[in-house]
Amino acid sequence: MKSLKHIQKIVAKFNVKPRSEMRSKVLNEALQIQRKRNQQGVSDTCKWRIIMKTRRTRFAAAVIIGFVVLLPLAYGAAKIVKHFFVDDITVIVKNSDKINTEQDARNAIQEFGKLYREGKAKEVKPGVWAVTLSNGEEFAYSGDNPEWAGLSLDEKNKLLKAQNDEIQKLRETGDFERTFIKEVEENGVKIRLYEDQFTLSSGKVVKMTFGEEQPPK
Amino acid sequence: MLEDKLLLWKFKHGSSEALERIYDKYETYLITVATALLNNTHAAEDVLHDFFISFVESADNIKLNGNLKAYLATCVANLARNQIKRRQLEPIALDENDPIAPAILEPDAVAIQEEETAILNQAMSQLPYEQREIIVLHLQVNLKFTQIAELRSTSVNTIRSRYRYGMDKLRSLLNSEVIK
Repeated sequence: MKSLKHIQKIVAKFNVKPRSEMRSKVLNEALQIQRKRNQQGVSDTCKWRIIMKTRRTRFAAAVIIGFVVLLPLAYGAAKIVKHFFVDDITVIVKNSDKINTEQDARNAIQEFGKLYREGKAKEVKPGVWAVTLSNGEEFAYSGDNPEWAGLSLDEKNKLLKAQNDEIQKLRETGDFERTFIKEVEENGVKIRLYEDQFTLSSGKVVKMTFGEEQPPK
Repeated sequence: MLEDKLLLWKFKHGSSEALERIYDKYETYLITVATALLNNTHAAEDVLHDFFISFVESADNIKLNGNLKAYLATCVANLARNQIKRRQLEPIALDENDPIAPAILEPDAVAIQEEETAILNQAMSQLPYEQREIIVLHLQVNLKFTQIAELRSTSVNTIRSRYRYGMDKLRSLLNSEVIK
């Protein structure tokens, strides 16, 4: 005879595994809507100003940055000639006669991503990766996640899911580095901010920031 | 949790990574809540889909006082309730060829849990929706009776009574394992 407590336990433990297609079906559409909203919203420059406005948000800025710049390799001083916006990526074209249309920019991004994933990109500065495209153009990429350049949303989702699963496993086994950042106060509560650093099997390093409330003395 | 607060903050500022992280973190939990309420996997998936679309569309208007997990589950519960009212859904029994898969378990445990899940789902489907909803909100979403009463604009005593009647009926169904 099942007791009330047992039934409460069964109900609380009831767990359903979503179908694998759900993620791409739901998330793709949600991300598209979000992208459109972002494009209609504040420009990147204004976003920077908002982000840097308060002391609290200044800290969070490092984990928010997601915009990416690709530029043909005159990433020293040069006059900006053309500007394309392809998906989440801003392509700034300087002194190039080979990237003239959005499709050219898209092709360049895809080729960059392919070359990066083949290990053919060179890190010319920290966070800046350069390749030579098939058309002879030198291309540089600056930003997070160069391994995602040129991937479809489904491919990116698969890669991201695998990455998240790996991070979860590393967290469970304690295989990560934790660094104390600083202590902040929010509504009278002291919060210690930490950064966890995970090194994935691909060699990629992922950092995640979180905070712990300190019990009152 | 501060991680959730940071995630929400980033999401409201247009971060696609934050949206993906929120989705991955809560997808299983939310589909579980929706399925428990609707006893219909397709309807539960529709609710999850509709919820995330409206979540993104109304990002600017989200004001979170409590925790993110409870907020998301409450929104899903509201959508499920609307769907029940709109469609007068008839809960369907689990198809043997398409069982509701439990989360990651050892094979023997999976077989046992699949059977328990199927039996529980069938029993829950026989409860009136108000009773089922209160049971799910209390035991899965971990809302207190006072919170549920406020959510449903009804008295705490009514909520407690419905919960008690629902659990009594559930116990009777599970103990007799009467499946219609």
